[in-house]
Amino acid sequence: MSGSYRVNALALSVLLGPCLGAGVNDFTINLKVQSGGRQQTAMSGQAGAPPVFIAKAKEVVWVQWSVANGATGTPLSDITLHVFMDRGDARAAAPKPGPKALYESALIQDFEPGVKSSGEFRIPVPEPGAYFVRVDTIGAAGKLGKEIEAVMQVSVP
Amino acid sequence: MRRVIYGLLLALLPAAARAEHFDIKLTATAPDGTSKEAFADQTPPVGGLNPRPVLRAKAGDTIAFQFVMTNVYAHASARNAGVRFYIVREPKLGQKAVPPLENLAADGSFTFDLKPKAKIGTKERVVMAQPGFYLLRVESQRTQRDHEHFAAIDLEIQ
Repeated sequence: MSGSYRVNALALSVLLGPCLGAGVNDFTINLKVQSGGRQQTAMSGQAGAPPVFIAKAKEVVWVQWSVANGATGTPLSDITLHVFMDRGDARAAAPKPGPKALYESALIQDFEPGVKSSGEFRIPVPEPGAYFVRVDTIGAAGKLGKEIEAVMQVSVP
Repeated sequence: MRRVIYGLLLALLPAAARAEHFDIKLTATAPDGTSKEAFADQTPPVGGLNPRPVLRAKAGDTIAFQFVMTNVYAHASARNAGVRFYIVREPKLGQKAVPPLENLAADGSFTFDLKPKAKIGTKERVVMAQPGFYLLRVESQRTQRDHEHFAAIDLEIQ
């Protein structure tokens, strides 16, 4: 690679970098799971392993999420907010809900700067095992450079 | 993944022309494959205009339900609108008044800025542990109109 090409590539990446990533930090997903006076939260962009919420079999868990595009965020249109709860490991890369997922929803919405939306559901956990809750976007990558997600493990001993 | 979600939302589109404002298709399915469907009704009047279908199942069965709501009114936008769904015990099948929303077998809601052609879809599987009569209902909220839309199915758990 010649020196001038390297400089040009670096300049291009510097120019494009802020464009592709613009708004990623402004667009946030918050996820909260609670039951029996206990609660756990997860946020988009959170580093490390997904947070774990310990529940009891037959216990009703209350799942809440909120999604917000900051006041200086990139306008986004036709974003699908996809939420699901299923059995499995939250650390799996981009898991999909199976045919027996406990819960799945999709909401298509525009996110102008400052727009928020939220949702919640209550559901009894049927039996011991490993479950996870995931909230992710579909359609944001075009402007944000990646899809946004928040995920939490729900463990039922 | 996008295809899967759009499948959930688009599979039910043929029903979109049946309602004036909010189109709804609600489906509940028992483990033996028996399924009931309900479409958009409106309130007032209390309980709407249409009789509710009844899905019968046994205590301990898992009931799968799903709904898709579409705002088919081209000029309707509303900030902070909502959708709520729930399964609540009711004293008798087909009663018009919605029972107090206590001790719900399942429930959920969404709050969002409603725009024309907005779509909301949900599917859920719930174990119906106790016998009795239940109302499964999904309804629009805060749409800034003089009425709200809903769809409902009765569950008879034996």
